[in-house]
Amino acid sequence: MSIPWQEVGLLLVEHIQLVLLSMGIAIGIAVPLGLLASRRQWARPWALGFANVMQTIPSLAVLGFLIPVAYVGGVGKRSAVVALVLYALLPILRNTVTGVLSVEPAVREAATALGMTSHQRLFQVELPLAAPTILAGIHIAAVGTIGTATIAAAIGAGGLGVLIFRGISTVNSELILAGAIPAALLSLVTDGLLRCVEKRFQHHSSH
Amino acid sequence: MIHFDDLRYQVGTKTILRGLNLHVAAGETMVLLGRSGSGKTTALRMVNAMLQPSKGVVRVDGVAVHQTDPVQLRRSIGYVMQDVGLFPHWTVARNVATVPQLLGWPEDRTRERVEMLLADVGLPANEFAERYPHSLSGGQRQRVGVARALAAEPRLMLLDEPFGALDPITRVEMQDLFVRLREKHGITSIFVTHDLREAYRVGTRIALLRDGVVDSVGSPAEFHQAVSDEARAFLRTIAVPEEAIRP
Repeated sequence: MSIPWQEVGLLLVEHIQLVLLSMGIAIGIAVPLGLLASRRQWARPWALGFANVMQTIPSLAVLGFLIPVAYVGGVGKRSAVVALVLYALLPILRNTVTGVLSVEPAVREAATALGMTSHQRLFQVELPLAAPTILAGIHIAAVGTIGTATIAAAIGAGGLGVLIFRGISTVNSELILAGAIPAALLSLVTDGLLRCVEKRFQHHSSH
Repeated sequence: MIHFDDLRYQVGTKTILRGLNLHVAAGETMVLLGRSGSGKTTALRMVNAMLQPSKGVVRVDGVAVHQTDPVQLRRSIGYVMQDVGLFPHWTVARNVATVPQLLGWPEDRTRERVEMLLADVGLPANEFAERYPHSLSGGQRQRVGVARALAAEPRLMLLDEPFGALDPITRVEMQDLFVRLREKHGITSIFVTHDLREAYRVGTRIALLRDGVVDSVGSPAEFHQAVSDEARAFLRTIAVPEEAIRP
């Protein structure tokens, strides 16, 4: 049996869309939440606790749980995106909190004492200094999401997992590889790209 | 210019200031001298509203600090601290320009001011402006810290053990630099230190703090004649034991 190249291409695109959408939403939630948690001590255990718990539930189980849930769940892309977002939250959230909290106390003190508002301190000092750490969190989340997204095919969300699941059910290793190899390559390429971005950010603030 | 009026400060059950009174006149450099825990840094941080007193008032030019906008107040007061706190992601020039930028100065004026101040602190702009803090020595960093504090033409400057982390030779150079700049820019300052030699070098008056109150205030010459136990304890720190240097 030959490899359905055209289908591989389409599923790869679908896979990338799934990952980009999930990552976008995850960043949109985790970074502001992380900033809030770094400012308000009471919010920290709640935010990190929630994200931690999400990470411990097996991904297949999360997908299963989401099928009967109204609005956010069901069969298809929506559930998959929700599950992937929940998975991507923790590394981004944790690194945002760590990044902001690891800004030197003297630097934070200087910002305030020179007359920055807390808003200015956040955007001019804390966020730029935390950026490399936040990026590292996004990096971890992105590579993880590319892998986890293959499981989303189990609830009909599409992506490269479709080939893997079909390969498993028909005992066709060629088909499994046709899904697995592009997913692995996608991971490697993403990893390389984000590494470059991180390097650029670390350029000046390194000690 | 600055009045500390019966300042009290408590954290939990710990009392740090117990009724501190002091007046700093315009043009003075008032040294707050005292051992660790005497309340000198606490009192200093109340001048720019980094801390709020539990009781009592600090007045700057007759206006109570707690009744002014803390952000505007801080922009009008220079601040230098031991750990410098330069922004590591900004160049030397951008660091010095911090407060002028916050105040929205036109670019030309900021650039001129930054260049002049870098020259003043002995770091010529053509060599240092575009460098990053991590490439500077400890003394050079504090020079940038002093330039940054002076950038927006403050009339008042607060210094919290600014040269405490430097080696003794660099420290003396920085003390001399501070005295030169203070005179050139006509600035009133409050200078916290636990080093009596430093107090003599930079101070026009010395306020000795002990357990959260002012033990004595006077010129360096008056301090040298002081009789309180705490003053004598400090005078002992600069005495060279004769037997140690006898040939």
